[in-house]
Amino acid sequence: MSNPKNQAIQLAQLSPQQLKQMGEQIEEEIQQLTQNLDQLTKAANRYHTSGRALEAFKDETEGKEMLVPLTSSLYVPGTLGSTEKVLLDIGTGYFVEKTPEDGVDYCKRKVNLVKENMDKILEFIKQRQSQAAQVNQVFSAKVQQMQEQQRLAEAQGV
Amino acid sequence: MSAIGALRDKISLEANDLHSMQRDLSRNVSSRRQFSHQYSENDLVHKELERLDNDAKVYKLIGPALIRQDKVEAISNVAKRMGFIEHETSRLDKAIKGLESKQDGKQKVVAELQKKLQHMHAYEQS
Repeated sequence: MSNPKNQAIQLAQLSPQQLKQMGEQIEEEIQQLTQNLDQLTKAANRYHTSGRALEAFKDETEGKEMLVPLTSSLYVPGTLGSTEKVLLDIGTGYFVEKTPEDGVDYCKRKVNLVKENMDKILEFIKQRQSQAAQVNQVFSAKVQQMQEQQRLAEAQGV
Repeated sequence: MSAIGALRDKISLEANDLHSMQRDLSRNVSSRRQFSHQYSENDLVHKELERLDNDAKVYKLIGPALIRQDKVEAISNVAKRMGFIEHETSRLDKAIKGLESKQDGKQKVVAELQKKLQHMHAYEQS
């Protein structure tokens, strides 16, 4: 796998059916990876929005009037309580009290982490795509070769 | 003809076996994947907890309620869970390996029987 030349030799030895199967497998993998990438993009966006909300929040003072969303379309008036601390969900049921500044920092770190992972997946997808292209190339070459042979055989038969 | 019929029965029996093995394997693989997701989530939480000051307030969601928990205790709990998940993944890895080799063996058996059946058909027709 690591050596592209080696892989090319291996591909040439495979039958058209095997090549087709392999191409389909890689294609499936690419789809899976693209889905993961999608999910990560959404996660990054969520962290980004939370970070932005916190950034707006940290300059506010206690007792400020605001509208609290009960549902996405129903708001009730309320006043801001403590602005010193916010509670952050850090996953698996654990929550941590932090200052809004630390919260912003947390969101930024998470966005960066997610972006790093997205870059890795993107790299993976590119790799798989070039592999798929290689497999397809060898596959169509084989098919062509077979058709050629068939034509020759028919010509000789006549 | 009866020999062919018997062989056919045997093949379908073996093929059924193979199918149930494949189902088993994919079940194992998907729970393996789930465990590795859980592991990375716990790992992130662990790292986050370790960044905290010792007097930071940590809460654990138990049912609908947030319960205050000691930071050190929380860290050890998460570490314990990670250890458990590690144990489970290595167990699953072994199971998956075993199932894969078993499946490969079965595949060979089925292929061989099918070949035999083809030969018998060819013999009968000639």
